[in-house]
Amino acid sequence: MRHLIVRRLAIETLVVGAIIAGGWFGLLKPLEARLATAKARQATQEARIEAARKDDASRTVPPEARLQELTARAVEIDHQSKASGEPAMLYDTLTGAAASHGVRIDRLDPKRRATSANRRPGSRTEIETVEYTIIAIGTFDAVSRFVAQLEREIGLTRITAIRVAPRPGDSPQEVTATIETSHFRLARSLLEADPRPGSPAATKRGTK
Amino acid sequence: MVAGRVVARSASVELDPTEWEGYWADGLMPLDASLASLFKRVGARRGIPATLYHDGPDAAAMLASCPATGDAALRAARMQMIEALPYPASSNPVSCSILGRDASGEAPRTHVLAAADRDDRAQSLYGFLVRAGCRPVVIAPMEAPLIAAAARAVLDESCRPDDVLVLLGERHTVISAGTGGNLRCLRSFDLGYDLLLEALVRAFHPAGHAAPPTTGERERAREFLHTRGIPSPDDVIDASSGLRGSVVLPLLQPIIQRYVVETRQTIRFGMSHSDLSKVRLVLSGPGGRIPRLAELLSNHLDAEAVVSEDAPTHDAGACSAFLRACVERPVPALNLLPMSAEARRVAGVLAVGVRAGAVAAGLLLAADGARIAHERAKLDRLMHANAPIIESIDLAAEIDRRAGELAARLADAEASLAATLGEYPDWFAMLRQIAAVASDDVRLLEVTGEVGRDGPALTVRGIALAGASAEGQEPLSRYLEALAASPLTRSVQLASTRNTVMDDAPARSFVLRAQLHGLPHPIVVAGEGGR
Repeated sequence: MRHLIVRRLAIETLVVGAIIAGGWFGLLKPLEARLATAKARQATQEARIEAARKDDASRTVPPEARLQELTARAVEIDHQSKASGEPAMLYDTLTGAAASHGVRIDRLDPKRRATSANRRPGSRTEIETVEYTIIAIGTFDAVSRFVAQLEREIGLTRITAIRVAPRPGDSPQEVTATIETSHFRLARSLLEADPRPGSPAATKRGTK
Repeated sequence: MVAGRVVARSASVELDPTEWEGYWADGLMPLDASLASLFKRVGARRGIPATLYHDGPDAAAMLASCPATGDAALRAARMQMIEALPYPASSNPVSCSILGRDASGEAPRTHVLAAADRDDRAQSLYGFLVRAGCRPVVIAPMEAPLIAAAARAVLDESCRPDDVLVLLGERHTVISAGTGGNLRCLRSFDLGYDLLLEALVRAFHPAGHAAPPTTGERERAREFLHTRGIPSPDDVIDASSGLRGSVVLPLLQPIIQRYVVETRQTIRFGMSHSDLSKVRLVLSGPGGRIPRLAELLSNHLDAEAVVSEDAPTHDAGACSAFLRACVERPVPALNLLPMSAEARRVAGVLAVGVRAGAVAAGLLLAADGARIAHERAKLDRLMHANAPIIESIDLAAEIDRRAGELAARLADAEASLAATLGEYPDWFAMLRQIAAVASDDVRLLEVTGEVGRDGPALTVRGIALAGASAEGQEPLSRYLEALAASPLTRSVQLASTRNTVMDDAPARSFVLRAQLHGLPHPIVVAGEGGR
């Protein structure tokens, strides 16, 4: 009898203990774990907010303004690159410029095109180059202005050589100018992210 | 029926003592109807807690005086009780209760009331109560409250040193003596006034009558004992039957003699002096007021005998004095419930403990859960409030990241453009300069410019008049000086000259070379200016 009572009591204690332990393990422990996670997340949030406040205090230019400024600069370079890099546009620009200054284009010879040769060691910027030999005829003054427009207004253009000589024959006022030009163009717009691995952009993103 | 410590309702029934052996043999079942009738008379409901005092054949009670305190005294008393028992204690209930402690002495003794009974007897008593529909809470031998009352009376400091308390119970008598709060002796023996009662019942019962005495005869005898007491030889006890005291006294005398002997022995062995003339017998208990009993004892013992003021008076039809005393001054912690019932009771207490623990644990879990939920809600509110700030931080970080990427691309592109575009002279300005410094006496034939390994250079071929001009300087020299003075040139050198004729005038054909200053492309300059 006594043995039975003790056994019943032991079983009852065990069952009650098991229910309590189960309740703790099944309900409270996960809740406690989730609370700990939430606390950690909240602490991280607070730390981020504090760090951001310090960053803001030490920043001279707001990030939006900096991005805007950089974008404007990239747009300008892209614009110049486009002006000197598109073959059809370049042809139109050259002939149009000559006509506007009263210069006749006698010959317009594209010489060669290169890309990788212009890459700096370690750089990811690819610059394409088109070279032209232009034979232009006009007065010295007109040819001068044409040269000025070539080197100042047609994007990323450089005059690598120039030869000016009086034109023999009936037009003593005119000169013949042989102009060798190089026109540069960025292979990829600066506003496009470089998709290749190891690019500065990709590296920066990786360390963020 | 008891309310607080007062007997509210009572009922009793007289039983034939000669039948007790049979009752015990049958597990007290023959008494079920009587008990049910009594419960009905007092209006006891089912499940009412019940306390039972009995005089079972194997029940024992004793006072153990131990020179120890607390649990040690209880253990010592238990051992004394076990030593005295004729049956094993391990399978039978034994219970102890501390009654009091001597006020003084080198090692003041603790007086412990110990009681024991056989478990099967206790089972019978337990079943007897359960069958009657009540819940047994205490079962104790009748002797125990008498011993407790006797001990308490002499431990009271008001007890006189020469007083000997004789507590007369129905089945037992307890004699005790003490002084100044110390208990000197206490002895309990199985001699009660029930024997006087039985003698009277026999006297009242017609001689030669085969039937056992009736309940009425027993009630008459009890009434006679408590109202008229021990008769004189000439007293008429029953006029109708002609029963006289001289007939009854021979039946009572042996019993009175036993009282005398037991009292004398107790005083002789229990007290420091045996001079009975110096002691005063104080009769108490339910039989203390039996008329002429004190007088007879005094005469036989040659000692003063008085009836205690505390001795209860007999009231026919009311609750017995013994039960009243038990209700008014119960003996705490003395209980001889059967071991299985005791185990059940303990198990019940433990089960209640387990359940209470479970409820407490549940409440704790709930409280902890509520605390967690509260903290979680607080955190959620905080995080919710922080969400827009975090969003703006994320946005700023994204803008920073994009700006960083763009800045890196821009820096790389600008460095590449600066290297690729290099430094070139301002050809337009150079052509203008050449034309500006030329004059009628210097004629240019060819101007060639190129960017070589040594930087930009200009080669000018032309013809200049020879001889000094009006200004006193040769035109070629003047031309060279003017060209060298130009901010566009770094140096100008005459490469070759040769005499010739220009417009029928002597002249020099010449070739001059000028090293020019190079300039970076405007887009590069704009980039540098922007930083």
